[in-house]
Amino acid sequence: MSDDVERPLLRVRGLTRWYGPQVGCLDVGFDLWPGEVLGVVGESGSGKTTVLGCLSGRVVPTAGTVEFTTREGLGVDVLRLSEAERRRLARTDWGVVHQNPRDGLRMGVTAGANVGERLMALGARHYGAIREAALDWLGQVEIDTGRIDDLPETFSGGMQQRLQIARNLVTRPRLVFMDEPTGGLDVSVQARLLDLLRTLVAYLGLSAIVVTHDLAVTRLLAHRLLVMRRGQVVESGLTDQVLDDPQHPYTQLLVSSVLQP
Amino acid sequence: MSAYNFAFLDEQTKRMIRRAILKAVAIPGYQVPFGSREMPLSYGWGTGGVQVTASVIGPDDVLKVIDQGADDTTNAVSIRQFFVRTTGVRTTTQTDEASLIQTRHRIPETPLAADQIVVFQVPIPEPLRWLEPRETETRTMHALEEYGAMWVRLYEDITRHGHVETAYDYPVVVNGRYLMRPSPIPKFDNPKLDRCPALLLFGAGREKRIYAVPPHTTVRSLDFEDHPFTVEAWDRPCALCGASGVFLDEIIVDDKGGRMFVCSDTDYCARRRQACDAETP
Amino acid sequence: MSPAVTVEDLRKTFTLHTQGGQELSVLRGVSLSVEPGECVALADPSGSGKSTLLRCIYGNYRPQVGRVLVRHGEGVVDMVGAEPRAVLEVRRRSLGYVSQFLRVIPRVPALDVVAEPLRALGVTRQDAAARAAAVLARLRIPERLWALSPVTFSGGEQQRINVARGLVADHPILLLDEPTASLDADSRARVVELIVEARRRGTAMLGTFHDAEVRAAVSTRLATLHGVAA
Repeated sequence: MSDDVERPLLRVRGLTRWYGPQVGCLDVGFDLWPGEVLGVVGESGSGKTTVLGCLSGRVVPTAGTVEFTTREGLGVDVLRLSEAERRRLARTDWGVVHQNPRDGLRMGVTAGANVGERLMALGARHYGAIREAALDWLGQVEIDTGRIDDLPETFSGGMQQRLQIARNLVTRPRLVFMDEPTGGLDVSVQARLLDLLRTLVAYLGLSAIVVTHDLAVTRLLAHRLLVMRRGQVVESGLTDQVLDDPQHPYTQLLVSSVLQP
Repeated sequence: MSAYNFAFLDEQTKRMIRRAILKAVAIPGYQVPFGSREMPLSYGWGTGGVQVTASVIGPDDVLKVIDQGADDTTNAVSIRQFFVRTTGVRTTTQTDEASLIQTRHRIPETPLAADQIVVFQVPIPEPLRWLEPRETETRTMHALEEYGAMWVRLYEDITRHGHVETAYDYPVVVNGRYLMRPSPIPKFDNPKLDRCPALLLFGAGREKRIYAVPPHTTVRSLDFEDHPFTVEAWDRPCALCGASGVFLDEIIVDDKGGRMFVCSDTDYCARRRQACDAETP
Repeated sequence: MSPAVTVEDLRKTFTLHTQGGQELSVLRGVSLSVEPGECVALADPSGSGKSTLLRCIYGNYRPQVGRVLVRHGEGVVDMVGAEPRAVLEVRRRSLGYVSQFLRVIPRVPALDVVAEPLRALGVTRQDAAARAAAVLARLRIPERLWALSPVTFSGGEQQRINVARGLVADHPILLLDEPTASLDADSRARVVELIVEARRRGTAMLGTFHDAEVRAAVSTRLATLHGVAA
């Protein structure tokens, strides 16, 4: 994270999404810088998933702007992109890690094909090279490379999640959206996954937006936090500051409610 | 015969289908939806091909109909008779005599010429249907040229079998843009599609799609750089006419497993034999 | 030469919303400065807010009023109200912190825990591991423990990991919050050695030392939160 980068990677202003009379998210704004991980925390109904949906293009916001800086340094209005451009962006410069790995994988094709697909979609035409890249990435996410020809159905939940990560990272995206990346996994498996994410984010200089209800996950992964409640951001700042010195009553409640084993 | 319009279809229908064909020719490889009509043959027996042929056939055309390369199988005979009864046009079994060829599952061995039209019978037009059952999604994938999944399929084949398993209806890219299914012709015939001087039309009646490859359009079979596309080969020539480098059918000749390999293209084989007989005293 | 750290009129009040909005005013206008090569020891009794001050300087707590000016590279950063990424940058390069509690990340070996601040500075894996090993050796952490996660270590061992991690990157400014808590006499002495060496290298230090001997050994002067600097 150097200070000589002029513009943020993502600039969000006034992001709002109404579901009829119900507010999904209201007036959410922030800048995300290269190499920064932003945690979005809140309980159910906080709007954190809506925010993620609006940013990743799954949901069309009612109002607001989302500006993304491309590799060439140009600002792109994400909400006004054509479907083709947005999908291309999603396949190359962005990644999405779903809570349920089955949503982010092709369960019926081998691990190697899952990892290689983005490369093939971008024009990779050498089987051997694609396979090499897949082996490399399986290694990076600590999946036994001998399983490159196995179906994800035969993987454990933690392995499926790591495969999902590899599938996304193969095109070296600069921004990764994660929705409860450790949700549903056993605690020991969670630890391993978080460790991997932490390492990859630092090693690859990724920016990420991690939506979670789990404060421990944010302390480990996120540089900054947005605390959301009923669709609005009630507090934001440096992760350890928000967690150790919460200002807003809701944040204090959230932090004090976490059980310490 | 006077109870039916020329070529069975009414003129409005022919106009609608011709419009679809024009669109298809304008966008090589792109599947154009059309209002498929009830035809006097069941779905799966060539209703699409018959409708395309019926829309382009004229009284001066010379028609050839083949099924799996043969002029004399039941389906080829039925369809040929249908057109004779509804149009009265001249028919032929000789490829180079025909101006219009309707075919199921093969392209003739005799090279095609510029003034010929070949109509293919297509069961499933959508090359991505195996992956994506939703029509809305496959249309989007074509529109956005998102063909990564097709390559995944090839990758999987090579992973599982060491080579691409697909032997017929082998996917191709037309004019460098659209992914297309060439109908269940053997992959042996795929190279004949590439920059063919004839007009190639594809009709799927049940699925209600028409697509086309205009003359001299590039048609490339999908492959990897290190696993290039290859065609079938036989270790012996045709048992009847001695031709090699053509597609051979395997015929079981007795109850003891005896077999022979003969040309699938009956016209090609017959004429080679004729020429051979003419030479020998 | 300007001070490495300047605290100006720092005020910090905690409002406990979960307890009916009760207010705790901990820092009521603290001002002090620390020069390179100094080790300033806060002499207040326990519970008076010494840790709070250190955390405010580190950017971990947010004061209501005041400034905390930290020398960073060629310039100065006010940690109060600074952008999160600016705070992280200052912590990475200029400002170290030895806390009382080791927040243990499961699975990460002790050697990597200590090496991490160096890796964040771009030091190669090998060099970082070597330097971390050197510090761990000086603090008499047995080599057989280096590959294990500190989760299972004793309090004293965890504290030594804390100290090692805080000192390994040789930041120009160091905050020390009871660095010798839960250490036996031998370990205390070793920690003192390391601190004094750092001080002699020109590190600016501010800390709290419960043990009078330790305080006497490392500090160059005493100060209090709300009184006059000694």
